[in-house]
Amino acid sequence: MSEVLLSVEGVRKYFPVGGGWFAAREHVRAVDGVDLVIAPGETLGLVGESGCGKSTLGRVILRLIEADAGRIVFEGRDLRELGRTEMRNARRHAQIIFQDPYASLNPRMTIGEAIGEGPRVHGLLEGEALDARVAELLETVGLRPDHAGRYPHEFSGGQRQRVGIARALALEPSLIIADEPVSSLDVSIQAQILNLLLDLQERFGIAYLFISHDLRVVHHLCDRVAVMYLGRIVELAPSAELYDQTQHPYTEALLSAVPVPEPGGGRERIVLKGDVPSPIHPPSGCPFHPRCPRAEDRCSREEPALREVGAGHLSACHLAPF
Amino acid sequence: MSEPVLSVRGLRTTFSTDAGVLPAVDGVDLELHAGETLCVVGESGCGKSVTALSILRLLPEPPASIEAGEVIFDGCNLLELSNAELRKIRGSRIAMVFQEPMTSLNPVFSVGSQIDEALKIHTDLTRQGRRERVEELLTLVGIPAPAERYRDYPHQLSGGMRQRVMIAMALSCEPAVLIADEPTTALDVTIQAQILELLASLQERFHMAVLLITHDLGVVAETANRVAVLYAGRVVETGTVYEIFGAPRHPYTVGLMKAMPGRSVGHRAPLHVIPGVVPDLRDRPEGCSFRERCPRADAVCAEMDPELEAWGAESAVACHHPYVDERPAGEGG
Repeated sequence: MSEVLLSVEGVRKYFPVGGGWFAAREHVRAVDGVDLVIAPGETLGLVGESGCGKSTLGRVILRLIEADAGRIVFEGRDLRELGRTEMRNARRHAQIIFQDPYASLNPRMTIGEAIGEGPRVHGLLEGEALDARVAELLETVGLRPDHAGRYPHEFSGGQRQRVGIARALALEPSLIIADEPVSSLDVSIQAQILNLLLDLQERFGIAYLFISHDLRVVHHLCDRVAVMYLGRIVELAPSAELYDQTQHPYTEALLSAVPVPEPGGGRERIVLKGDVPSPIHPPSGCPFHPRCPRAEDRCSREEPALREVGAGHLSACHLAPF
Repeated sequence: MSEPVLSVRGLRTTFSTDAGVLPAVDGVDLELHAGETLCVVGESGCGKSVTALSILRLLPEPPASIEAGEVIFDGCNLLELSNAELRKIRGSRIAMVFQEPMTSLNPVFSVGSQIDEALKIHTDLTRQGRRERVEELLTLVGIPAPAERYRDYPHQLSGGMRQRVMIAMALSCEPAVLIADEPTTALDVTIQAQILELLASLQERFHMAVLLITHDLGVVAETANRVAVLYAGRVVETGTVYEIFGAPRHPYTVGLMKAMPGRSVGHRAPLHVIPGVVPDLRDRPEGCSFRERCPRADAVCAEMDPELEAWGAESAVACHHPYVDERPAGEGG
C-alpha cells in the first residue's frame, strides 16, 4: 500500500483483574499484539465476538484507553508520544462514533451545542459562524437545521445516530472509528445510516475503522476486513476474498454461523463447541485450537504468526493456505 | 390444516401513558399449529413482544390493558381464566424464553434450584426425582457436568449457558407451546447458531409448537415454517417462509427484504431505504398506517384501512396494492 493514514504496530493492552493480599494479580489480555494499516479514504472492518478486544482496540487507537505497548502512527506521528495539547490537536482528525448515541450525548445539551462543541473548544469557530456550521452539519447528516435547539431525548435512535455522526464530522476528520454504529437500530433505519456513512466517505474522503459483530453489514461496507479472536487478529483480507476464500478456521465458523436470509438455502454450518476461552488464561499455542475443527498436534504447542498466505491476505493459522 | 394448538384472534392491548392511550397491539390474529415454528417479525415498537406477553397475560395491568380479543388454547380462552387457573398453564403447558437470560434468572438462587421450582409447582415428583430430572434437563440442553452446574449461580455462567438454563426451565414440564422472545438477540453469532440448533432439535423431540419473536430476517429464514410480519401493532402479511422470502406481497415486507445488506445490491452500493419512521400509535393516521412510507400508496390508502385478506391457502396480506406480479402460478386471489 502506498499511502498510510494510520498504522498500528504491536499494540497491547492488558487490564488487571483480581489481586489482593493473597491472590495474585492477573490480566485480561484484551489486545495482545495487533498490527493494522489503514489507507486514506479506506474502510477497514474489524469483526469478532463479544470480548475479542475490538472495541478496546478502537479506543486504544484514539488513546481513550492508554495502550501498554506498541506504536500508533496517525498522519505521520506516533500518538503515544504526544503531550496533552498535541494529542488534543491530533484528535481533531480522528473521531469516534458509538453504538448507543443516547448514552454518548449529554442529555442537558441541545444537539446544536453538542455538534458545535468540537469547533468551539478548539477555538475554530464562534458566534454566527459556529451556528452556520452546525446548521450545515445537520443538513449533511439529513436532519433539519431548525432542530439545533432540541434535546437528545426528542429524537429517535436513528436520528440520534445522525447527531453522533454530525458531531464526529464537525472537525473535518480524516479517520472515523465507528464502533457498532448500527447495532442498536432496526433494519430499515440501519440501511439509512449505512447509506449516510457511504455517502460521507465519498464526499469527504474519510477513512473508517468499522467495528462490528455483524458480518453481513461489514461485507457490504468494507474494503478490507480484519477478524479478531482473543485480542489478536487471526485473519485480514480484502472483503470479497475473506468471504470467498477464507483462510482461517475461526473465520469459517463465524461466517457459517451467520443466518442466511434465504429459507432452505443454508450452507453447511460449522457449529463451534463451547464458549470463547477466558482472555485471562488464553490457551497455549494457537488460541483457537480447543474449538478448532481442523486442529492438529502442533496447534496446541506452537503459536501461529500472522503471515501472508495470498496477495494482501493474512492468516494466523498453521494450516493456511487450505 | 389441523386445528391450531394456539390461536390469537383480534387481540388488542393498550397502554395508558401521560400522552394518551397507546394501542401497542391493535387487532392481531395468529394461529400456531403443533410442531411448527411461527416467526413473528417486525421492527422495534411493532407490538411483537406485547403480543407474546399478552398471550400469557404477563403484562402489568395497569398500565397495560388487554381490551379485546381471545387467546384460545386447549379449548379455553386464556384471557378469561382466573389467575390461579392461568398459573397452571404458564410454565407447564405454555412456556416462555426471553431475550436477556440474566434479567430473567434470579441472581440469589442456584440455577438448579430455579429449574427445580418449576417442577415443584407443576409436577408430583419427589425431591430426589426432581433432582434427577433437573440434571437430565441440563444434559438435554447441552450443559456439561450437570451435577456441578446445578449449584452454580447465574453470574457464574456465560450468556449462552444462561440461555440454555432458561430453555431447560421452559422445557421442564414438556410444554405444548414455547414462546421465545428474541432468544438469541443478546448472543454472539456462533453461540446463536448453537442455541437455534438446540431449539430445533428439542422441538422435534417434544413436538412442540414454537412462537419465535425476532427482528432478524436471517433467523426467520433459518427457523420458520410460517411467518407473520407485524407493523404498527397489526399483522400486515402472513405466509409460509418460502412465500415471504420468495414473493413478498406487502410493500413493507418487500422494503424490509431489500433493506438487508447483501441481498439485492452490490458491494458498497446504496441500500434500499424505507423512508420516514413508524407513525405515533397514539394518533394513528386515517387509512393504512404504512401509507406515508409506502411507494405504492394512493388516495384509497388514505381513506380505507386495508383488512388482512386471505390469499391462497396459507397466506394473507393487508394491502390495497400488494405486489401481485411475483404471485406463484395456480393460486386463487
